Amino acid sequence: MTCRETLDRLDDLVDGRLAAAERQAVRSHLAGCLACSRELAALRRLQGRAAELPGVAPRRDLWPAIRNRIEPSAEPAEEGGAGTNARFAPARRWWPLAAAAALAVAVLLARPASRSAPDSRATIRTEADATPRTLLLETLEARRGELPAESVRAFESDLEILDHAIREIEGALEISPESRRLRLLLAERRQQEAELLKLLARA
Amino acid sequence: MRHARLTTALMGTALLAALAATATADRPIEESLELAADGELQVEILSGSLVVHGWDRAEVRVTGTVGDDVEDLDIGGDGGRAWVEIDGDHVRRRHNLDADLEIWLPSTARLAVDTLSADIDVSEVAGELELGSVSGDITVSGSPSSMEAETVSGDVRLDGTDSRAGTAAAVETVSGNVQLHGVGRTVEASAVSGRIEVSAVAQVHDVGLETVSGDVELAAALAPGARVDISSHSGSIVLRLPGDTSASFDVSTFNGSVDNDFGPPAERVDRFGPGKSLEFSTGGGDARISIETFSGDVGLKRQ
Repeated sequence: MTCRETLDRLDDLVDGRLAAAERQAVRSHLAGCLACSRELAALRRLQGRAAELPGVAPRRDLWPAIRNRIEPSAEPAEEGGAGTNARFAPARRWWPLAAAAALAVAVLLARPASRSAPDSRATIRTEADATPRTLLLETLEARRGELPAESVRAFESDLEILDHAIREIEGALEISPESRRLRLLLAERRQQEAELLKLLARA
Repeated sequence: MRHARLTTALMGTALLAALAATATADRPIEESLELAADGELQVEILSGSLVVHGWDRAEVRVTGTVGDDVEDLDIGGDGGRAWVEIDGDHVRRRHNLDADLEIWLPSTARLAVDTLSADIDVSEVAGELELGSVSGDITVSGSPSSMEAETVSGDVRLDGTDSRAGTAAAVETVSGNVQLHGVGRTVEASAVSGRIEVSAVAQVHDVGLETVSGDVELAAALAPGARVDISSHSGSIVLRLPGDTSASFDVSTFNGSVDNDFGPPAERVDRFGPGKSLEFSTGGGDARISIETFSGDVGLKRQ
């Protein structure tokens, strides 16, 4: 198995979705390839960070609309939830936004670093890919009057910086499609985009 | 007749001025309450300023002023926890919501602060800090055991003073600049356009610094087995290390330059693109250093 074939299967390996023979082939390659092993380690780090995200569950009517946009066929979500007014549980004014952002974060982190490996999740990802940005911009617009103007400007300008960085890396991947480092950089920039969403939700 | 009109106009003006003065008046605050040495104080204000000092009493003291439009000021506690909170959600667009507060708390207590635009200034607190502001600056002096700080556009600055342990710091910002001096073994910081500058008083063990366009500079000695990960897209990265550092280096950049005081020059690694990579070790190679940029320049400098 080549490096490229291995890298194309890392997502599925981490998700436990490889058949036994294919899994064995990938592991054999990883055992002798430091570069691919690093890629796997980076992927697992990202997965670990995703697992550490706060387990917020939207509590009011924001959730069905968001969920319908991301998963059109999903069942309506239950109302209510884990909201709390307890002191020292500071999850109040931004709570629904945090839920939206956490959802967006999860979607972002689910995006594959590789654009070359179609899989069964492609349809969901394609629909979901556009949504985090839309959510972020909508959230930013909705909170424009609440947040300090300089902070809104910071979000807007830094989002552009991040977008530009992602476009640059994607452009570089067109030149060097097998560059593992570029793919790792792309994953890190997407991780930062996700962190930005979380930060906006908490602000 | 004209004189009467003028008098009336002047009286009207004076009345308006008086009303305006009343509308923007500040209310003085002076409160004290018990808090255990290992207790926790939570402060939430919107705008204005917050200055916090640690002291050796099992007591919280709050002084200062709050704007006249602040309706819901809640100061209370139960001995183990205390809080100073202004609930401004429903009046945020009104005018005088400033709170200029000076607070003293037990120096070993935990402090959590959340502000919208108020600057936060903390000194002489040895306990844990959890500080957040959207646009306010955060300044900490002394050596808290740990500091978590988060801003959108506010700057974050730590001036650590404890030369033995230092502060474990975790900072996240968007456009704010981060200056952490006197950190301990662990430091994590991330920004998008903000600059990150870190220096350690003790040997660092776990370091993670990340920006998109902001420059990054780290000056530190490395503990045995340390792990340093620094990444930036277009910002430059400068790492200043003692000359006798024992570490393995893994440096890569797609389109930046690498200036290395410690070992060989970087080599081109991509047949099709301009990528450069540099892997080498110094000493026994105990610590592991990973640096990665897309277009930012990298400098490995001897201290």
